[in-house]
Amino acid sequence: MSRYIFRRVLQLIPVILGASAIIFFILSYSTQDPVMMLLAGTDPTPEQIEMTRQQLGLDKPIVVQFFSYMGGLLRGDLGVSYNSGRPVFQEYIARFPATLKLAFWALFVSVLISIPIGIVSAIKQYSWFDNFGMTFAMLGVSTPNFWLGLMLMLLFAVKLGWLPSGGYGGLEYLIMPAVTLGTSQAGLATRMTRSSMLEVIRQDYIRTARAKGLSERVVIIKHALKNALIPIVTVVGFQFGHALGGAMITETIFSWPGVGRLMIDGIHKGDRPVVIGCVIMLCIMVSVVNLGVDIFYAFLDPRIKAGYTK
Amino acid sequence: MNINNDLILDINNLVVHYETMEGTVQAVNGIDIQLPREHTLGIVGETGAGKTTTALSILRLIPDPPGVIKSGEILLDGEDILKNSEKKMRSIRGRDVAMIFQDPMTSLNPVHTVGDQIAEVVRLHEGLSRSDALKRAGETLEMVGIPAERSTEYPHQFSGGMKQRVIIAIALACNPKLLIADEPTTALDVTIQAQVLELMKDLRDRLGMSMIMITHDLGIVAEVCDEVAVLYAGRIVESGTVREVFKSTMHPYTEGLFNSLPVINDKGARIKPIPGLMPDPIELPEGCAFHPRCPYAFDKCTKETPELRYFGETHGVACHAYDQDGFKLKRRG
Repeated sequence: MSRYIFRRVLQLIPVILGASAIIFFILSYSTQDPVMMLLAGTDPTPEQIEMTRQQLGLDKPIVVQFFSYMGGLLRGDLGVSYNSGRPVFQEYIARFPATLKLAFWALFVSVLISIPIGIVSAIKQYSWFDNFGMTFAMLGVSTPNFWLGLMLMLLFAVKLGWLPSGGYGGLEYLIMPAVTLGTSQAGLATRMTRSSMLEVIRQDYIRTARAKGLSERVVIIKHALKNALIPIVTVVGFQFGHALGGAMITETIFSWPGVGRLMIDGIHKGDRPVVIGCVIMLCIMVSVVNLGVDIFYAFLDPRIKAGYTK
Repeated sequence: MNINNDLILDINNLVVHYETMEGTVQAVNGIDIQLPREHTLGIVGETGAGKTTTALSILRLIPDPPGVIKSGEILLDGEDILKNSEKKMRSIRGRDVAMIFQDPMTSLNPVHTVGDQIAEVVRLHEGLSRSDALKRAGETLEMVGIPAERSTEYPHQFSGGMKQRVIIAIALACNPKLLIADEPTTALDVTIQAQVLELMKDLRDRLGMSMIMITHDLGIVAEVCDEVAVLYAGRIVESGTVREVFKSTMHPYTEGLFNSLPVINDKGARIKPIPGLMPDPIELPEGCAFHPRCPYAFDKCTKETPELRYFGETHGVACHAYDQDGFKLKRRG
């Protein structure tokens, strides 16, 4: 098992390097000049511009810039923000707790909604509840986050005044962003739960479980759900990994000071090291959560565990 | 079959339909089964004859929807289980009536250990603690010829024959009064089939169980059963003791089944399959469902459904041909 994990961590390295290279070159060819963005509003002289360019190392050929950045990356150095002058990694870590909190609570909302609705929809296939559940799932998938977020804000912050419209703080600040992000995740997770459960409850071993005299609750929870969980965990894990990389839209709407907003700000200000750093961290988050999901599979299914130890 | 006061199972006029979008599937159309205690009944028939539906009805496990038990009664130990609450049924399943399913590869839950899967049924019906139930699971495994240490292993670590032994262990863990085996050896290799069959016979005799053996293999019936009922299109066409049905076959369909068997000591003889196919259970032919394939069919067979008539005390046949004086089958001999 530990050999398997080690192998998977090694596989992470080329993924991160590849993603970094792609994002590095895309940003280099963007029309924004980071120097001009940085000096905007100061009416700089050509000497000042040239000096800043040299300071940032942007006067060198792009290939040299690339290798010097990658060299830093291999030593764990994500570079320095053009804007604040602080190391990108420090900026990221400062914002990460807020993102972690939001991602976790969104996951909680998503699982709380999707698993029960998905299970009941599967058991009562084609019933009114199933129709309702699938309508909800479709709405969840297709409603844009910014729209849902704004609607919630209009209702609960502006009209009713029950919740703050944005910012960072206690539970009251968390509810709307978590619900916005969580319901959009729940759409896909509900459909996945339903289809996975539908497949499992037709299996012969479910009939065996019923023939033992077990109650329907035990049949569904103990015998069906554990078998149905693998695709569900895959989807939910992927969504969680993404949210950990920063829920850009949700964080922006609710002024949530997470890494998603760090990245958006970076893009606005042409702060190339911040943007690349955020993308790399997103890669790492998604990969680490996926690895966690793969390890979790082994606890769900002994056949997969047997495959890992080979 | 004669009326016996000591019947473990007494099914009267059972009708089960599946009501689907395409139409009503008439799976079981008025079946009577009387099974004396500690006897073994073989239910024989082709795929789709209603064997499994009959068996699942006894546990009330017909998938609903689309399955509906339209009428009839199923007396288990004199009590009509069709009147039971679902809760009462749960206490019967696994404790009084246990079932062994056809495909051992898919009938065990892949994510629980075999020990847990056996212990679960003991805990449920006998209220044992987890550790006592696991101990009992080990003993039950030993009984079916698997070392108790293997109870911590998962189904994928067992071969097909071993899995079927585990399923037998689950079924027998609570000493059921009635064991229903639905083609328990069909999915197994021939050599393993014989072992599993031998094991089932041995355990049945040791534990004093009554048994229903569903199969399409007449050899298994001859080997294991006391009585046999031949099913065609959801009806019993012939029933009686194994000796009666095998030695003095009366129904043309049963004759057809025997003629489909290869004869070992006559290499020149050709197998004579029954011409045609089972009728579509959504649109059963009028009259006797077998008449389109029956070499003896005449007018009446296309109009009236024959009832089971008794020739002798236990030998029942549902066939109009016996209205004609001196009618005899031309069975290959």
